[in-house]
Amino acid sequence: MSDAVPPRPDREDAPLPPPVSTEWRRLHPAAIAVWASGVVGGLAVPILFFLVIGRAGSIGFAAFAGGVAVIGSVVRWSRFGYRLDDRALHLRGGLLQRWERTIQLARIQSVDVVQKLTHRAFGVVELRIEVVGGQSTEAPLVALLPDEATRLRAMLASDLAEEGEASEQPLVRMRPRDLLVAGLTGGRVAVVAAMAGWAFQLLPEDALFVNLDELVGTDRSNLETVLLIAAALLGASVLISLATTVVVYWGFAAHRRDDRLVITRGLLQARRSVIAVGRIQAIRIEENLIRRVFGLASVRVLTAGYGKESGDQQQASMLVPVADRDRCLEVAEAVVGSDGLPNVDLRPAPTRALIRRLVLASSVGVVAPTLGLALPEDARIATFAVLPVAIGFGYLSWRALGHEVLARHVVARSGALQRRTTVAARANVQHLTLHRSPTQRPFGLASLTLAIPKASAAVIDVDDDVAEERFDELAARLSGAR
Amino acid sequence: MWWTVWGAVVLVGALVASPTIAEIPSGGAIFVAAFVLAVLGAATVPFLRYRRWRYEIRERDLFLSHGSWFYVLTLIPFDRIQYVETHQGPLDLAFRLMQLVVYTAAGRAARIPGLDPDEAEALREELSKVAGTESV
Repeated sequence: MSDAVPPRPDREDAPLPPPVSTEWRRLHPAAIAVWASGVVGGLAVPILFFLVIGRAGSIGFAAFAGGVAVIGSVVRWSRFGYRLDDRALHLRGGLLQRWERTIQLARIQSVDVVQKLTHRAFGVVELRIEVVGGQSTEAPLVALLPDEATRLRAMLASDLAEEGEASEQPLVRMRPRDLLVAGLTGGRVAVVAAMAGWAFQLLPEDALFVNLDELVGTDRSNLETVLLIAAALLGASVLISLATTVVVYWGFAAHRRDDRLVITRGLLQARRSVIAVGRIQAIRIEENLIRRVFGLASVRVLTAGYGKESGDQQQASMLVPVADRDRCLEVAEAVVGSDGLPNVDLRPAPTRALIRRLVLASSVGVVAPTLGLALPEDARIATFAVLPVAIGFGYLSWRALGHEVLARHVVARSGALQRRTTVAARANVQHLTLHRSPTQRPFGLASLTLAIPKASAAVIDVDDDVAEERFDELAARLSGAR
Repeated sequence: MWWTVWGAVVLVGALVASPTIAEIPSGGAIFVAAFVLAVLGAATVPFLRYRRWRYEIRERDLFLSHGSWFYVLTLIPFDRIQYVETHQGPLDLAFRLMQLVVYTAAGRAARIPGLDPDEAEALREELSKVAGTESV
């Protein structure tokens, strides 16, 4: 058994509440509405498309699809059952192909309570149960009465129960102003802004002040079209980013209660997640281009639950949507336990790593125009832009590199545009890999990868000797840690 | 107990060979050169890779190193092994070989190709014993 998924001796000792029932139970009938609305929601785009182009029979199609969704959901509800005994949660369902699933209580990573709009309409909640190494949410109990959900949650994961004193100050709280900042500096905006900024620089100065009205209708040059598209993209991405940020992170607050993190958030979809601190695999501090300019960052916790396909991973693991870099480090330190995180000076990558990147960038920059000779005349010029972009990118990615091995953690940073600092507990490292690629070899460089469940911490481009030293050091600790 | 097993591996050489190159229309010289290179590569690369592939079962971990062009060192502590799997593809079957795949909680940690089936199975049992997990 690995440290990453510690056995839970407290389970045997703790007096468990008696099981609600060992009988099979059904979900609340509101599950029908939840499933049906999910299906209809998925079909909304094609249905709208058909309605808009006014195909004959499109209304019939919509009605048919809706009908099938409702009937299917009724059948699904009637077949779906769950049962809890003192060791496992059992689920079953299926009409033509019956299935039954058993989830060992000891393997449960997190239990989330989710309330979407449909749930609110019926006064029910959804319980999402995540298991170690799962690809998607293993047990979505889509509609339960709140009392039942609370009771189930207490029994499913006694150490995730919410008793214990709440710390007076929340660890993190997002005020509307913070949400605004988060939305305006979100990842999507950063990418588009970078592109737009680049496009603006290419234009003559007065082009910026050309009136939109003049542009519409008159013959536009290619450059002006690019400008217009860039501006529209930027505007749209800011709006989308703001809207999603507000919807997802409205009322965001993270509390620490004993050894648990309790995170609440969401406008349309209220959500409450409880994460046992002991099961956090790593913490990741992320800074995109815009946020770096303002000294802002966000913090994510990586746990072994939250499957990739559940679509929750990105948002569910957010611990600090946006805050000052220093504050982010403080929060990270508060979660991982004191290891001097805020004062860590990462060791930068050697200069040889920069040279390697510049050499690679230059070769790309030279090869591109050469290949560009095959392109039509006016497209060729674009290939000359490859060199400065590649060199800039190489420099940024070198600047980002850094690592440090602390007493109980390994910190590694990388990423040219989106800078990621991963803090992984050494106890969670599963296996170690040292790579030396053909382009690293001449520069005496190597990379180390520390594999942790659902993530990895990569120490890129360190000195050969340092890499081997670190490898041996970590290996000795890893193999000896019994 | 301190015992060491040195194993080595035959990699599938024929795959490296040339059919993809045949489509370039111009430049017979380029084609010939590429063909010669491909044949040379096919003749030497698998041998080199075979020579460089080694694994070692140590007291508390499994240690692998392979590749010279792309050099990779991997270390898997026994107590992190989740499960061990043996696997035979069509080419493995043709040459009576077997691959061994080791998984940890972080996913696939290592693949040891080109083992003798008996050796692979013995190794699988051995590793799953020290890992304290069932073999698949």
